[in-house]
Amino acid sequence: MALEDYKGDAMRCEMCSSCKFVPIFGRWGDIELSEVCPSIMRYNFYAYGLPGRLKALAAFLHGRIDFEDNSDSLLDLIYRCQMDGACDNACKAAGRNMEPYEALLEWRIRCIEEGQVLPQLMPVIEGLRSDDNMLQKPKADRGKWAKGLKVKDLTKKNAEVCFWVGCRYSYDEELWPTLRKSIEILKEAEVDFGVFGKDENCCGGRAYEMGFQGELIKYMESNLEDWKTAGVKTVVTPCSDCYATFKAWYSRFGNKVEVYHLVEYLDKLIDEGKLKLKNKVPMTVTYHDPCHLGRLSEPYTYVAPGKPYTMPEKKVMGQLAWVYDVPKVWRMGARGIYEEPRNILKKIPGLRFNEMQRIKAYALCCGAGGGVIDTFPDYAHWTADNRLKEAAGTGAEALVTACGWCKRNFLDTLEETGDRMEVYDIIDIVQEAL
Amino acid sequence: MALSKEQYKVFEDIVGPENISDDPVILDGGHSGPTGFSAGFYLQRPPAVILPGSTEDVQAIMKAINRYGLQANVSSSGWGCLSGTNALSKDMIVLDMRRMNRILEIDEKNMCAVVEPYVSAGQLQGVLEKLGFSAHCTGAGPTQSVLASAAAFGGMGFDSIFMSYSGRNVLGVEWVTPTGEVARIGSRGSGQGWFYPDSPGVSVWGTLRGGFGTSAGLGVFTKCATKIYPWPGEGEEHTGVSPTYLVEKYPEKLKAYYLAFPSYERMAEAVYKISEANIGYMLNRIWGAALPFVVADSNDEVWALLQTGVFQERCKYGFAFSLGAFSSREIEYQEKTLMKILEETEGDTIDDLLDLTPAGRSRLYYHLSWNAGSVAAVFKAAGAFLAGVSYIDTTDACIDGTKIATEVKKEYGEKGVLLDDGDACWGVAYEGGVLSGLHTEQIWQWDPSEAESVAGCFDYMVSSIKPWADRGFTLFWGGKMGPFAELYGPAATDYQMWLKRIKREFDPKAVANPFFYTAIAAEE
Repeated sequence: MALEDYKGDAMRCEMCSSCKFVPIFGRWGDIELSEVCPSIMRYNFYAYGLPGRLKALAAFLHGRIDFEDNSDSLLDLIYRCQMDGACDNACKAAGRNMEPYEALLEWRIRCIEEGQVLPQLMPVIEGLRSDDNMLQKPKADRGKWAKGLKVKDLTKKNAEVCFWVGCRYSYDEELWPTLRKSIEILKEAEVDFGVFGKDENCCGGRAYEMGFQGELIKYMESNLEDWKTAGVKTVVTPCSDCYATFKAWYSRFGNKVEVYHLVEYLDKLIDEGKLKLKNKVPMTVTYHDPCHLGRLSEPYTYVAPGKPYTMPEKKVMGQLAWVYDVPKVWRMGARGIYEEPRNILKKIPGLRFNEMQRIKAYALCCGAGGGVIDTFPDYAHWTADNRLKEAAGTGAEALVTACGWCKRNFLDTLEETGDRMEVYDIIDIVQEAL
Repeated sequence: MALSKEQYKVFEDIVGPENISDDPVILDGGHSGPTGFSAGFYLQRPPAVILPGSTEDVQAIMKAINRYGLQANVSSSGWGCLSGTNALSKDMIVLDMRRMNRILEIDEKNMCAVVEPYVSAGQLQGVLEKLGFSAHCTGAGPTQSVLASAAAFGGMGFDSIFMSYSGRNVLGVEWVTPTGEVARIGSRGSGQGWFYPDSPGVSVWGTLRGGFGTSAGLGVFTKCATKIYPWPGEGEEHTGVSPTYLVEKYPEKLKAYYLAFPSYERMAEAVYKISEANIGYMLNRIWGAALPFVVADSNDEVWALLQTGVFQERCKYGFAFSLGAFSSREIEYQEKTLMKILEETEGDTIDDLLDLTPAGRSRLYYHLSWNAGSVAAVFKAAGAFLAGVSYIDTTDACIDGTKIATEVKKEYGEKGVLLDDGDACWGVAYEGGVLSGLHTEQIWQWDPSEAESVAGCFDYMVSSIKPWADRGFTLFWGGKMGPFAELYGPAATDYQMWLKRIKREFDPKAVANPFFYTAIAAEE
């Protein structure tokens, strides 16, 4: 849909501010932990919350502010946002039938279409275009993590399951042990799988959330073709960003991918008795829901094959708006992956699990999303610090997550603040328990 | 009017460079419209928006505003497009109170909580719930500012039957006057804590707050105490993920219902009987066509329910209601009493209709226990809503008013410019009926992105006033303040003259936003 299609939503937002808080059904508990939007929490000006952004969008669409006179400020406002979707969930939980996330995403796409690119994004996107990854690393190094491992190469042999690594895990050496453990676990469960190694591409999702729609479409087409050629029926990935991209963003363009996050796959294998958690892991942990594994992974629902995921609204009863010829299934964020990681953690002998206040569909972002880790790293770390303090408040010694991007941001932030908190990928904990 | 460099520097020195902005993008991000009324109608941008962090900041800002002949509007949570986030004149700076966001004290013994302006009702209730308390929340719902409502605004809510309205809840107050003086009102002013709204000597409580409140028309309220109440909702458990929650276990002592009656008269009788029996924790008069907005997820579902006609038919004369008790015997007594009242008034709990949607019962419970669904009830249909002429009177009088408003509104619904929902008035009960039977507000919904709908909104607002005024209703809410005071004052002891005298005394340079209070010319 075009940005102009969201003008109505931008004008119909009545600034109730529900989007800034944990939805009321979740209870607000401690006041310091009652907000869910890092942007308004950090910058305080009304414009940085969803209602302010939507009003600025309305002003933009009415021509009051534009790229000619207000480019720097507009880009600053548009990109100091993790695109984490918490506001979208809270808005819908309050009862609104609007698509605020879609509106903000389309605004970023418009920026790129009009050549308005934050300078900080340029090296990232140039790196993507030259080396097919988001970390500005050589393409040739992508498969190094698998050196010495005996894993089927999907460019040479077929397999039904593709273990998809993603840019972050492929290049972040500190995360390689997690990948290696993942391989061991899949082998132990006797899964027939393969990897693309150095020939794996970016999923395109992070670029998309920065507004580079063309990149998403390019990688989507290429990846779908690669999977088809290699006989892949199912994709399994440890990366939450890739997971959301395959499940949600690819579905936005009409493609259904059979994809599992590794945590789902592990939960399934544990349930089926193919993996046994027998070793004690004597630790108190809390779990951070990655946005891309949770609310952002919810796929789009189509009214019929080949039809778009949404359609023009109509009005009935005079002014009852947002009514559709075929009832719309709203993407609300409730259908993310929330229970599987908790199931696993609760089954690990000796492990004590404490919940944070902001969890599941209203979890606070780690701070790395929407390109913020590249564009405004201080803001990414500020957000992570807020989350880490919430984790520490539960009495946990360790924060467990299921996303390499989250883990990296938490680790970097801890290094900066000097605070003490162990950060684990859930795969590491599972491997320890096997 | 843009601030001069010198002026900007003065404000910047008070709050720090990161807490002031005159950037058009920031100012258009919620401070200059588009207003809730209009398809593309913008107000002027304010010269700046400032985020004070303390009472001292506010004091210094107000003094500078006086010095430079500027004006101030104050926004706390910023709820709604007509809120204080906007500038209503070209010289009006917006003070966004977001940084003043602390609950300063919860005094369980004296049953009050002290809050800063940005603390919302949901935040306060969330903290209080753990201690076994709750606090008043207006019909605007959980995100509205406790302080703004208590110290400076109308403030009726579903819980008014048990907790009354905001004007009855405010206790000690810290107030920065328009000239930048700090006044501490009530027991706080005597150094005796926050627990009482008056103190020895001349009372300024009526001046400060009165029935409706002064909005931002008489300075800035920086702290206030509000009453807290016992909370009967302990023991609730739910399943699911936001927003698809289902209540798995309801609290033993908090019970939610929708009560439907065969006529307005029977409904009124039930309200009187409920008041006489002194039962009820929440009462919210929403009518048949409005109820699906609370119990259904999407407007598609709402439309499907309304097409059956069953809600309109069976719930035309009804209200959402909850019992709250503090012992098992008390809830047992209340339930028996309610059932007897229903028997006597031919009332129905419409259990079968609540089961038409998977989350119907859960939603009704959340609506009544946590004010959830307020936003859905008013914004979900078309985007915007307004609460117009309102009054507080006997239940019978309120019903007469409702009939009149419904008749006027019908024409606009049929024309398609407003939501055609067959009724016109939202209502709550006050203090178990001691203060009156009901408080009633005209409610109508329209699409702010559609020009015809916006025009219809204005037209209806104006058209609906006269029939009410002609019948001699005591106008309460917006009908009494701001520009309306000039219209109604002559018929009501010329109260607008008193407002102006007070305003002149406290605000000689007319710096505080007059729009929701009263306008005066600034003294030279």
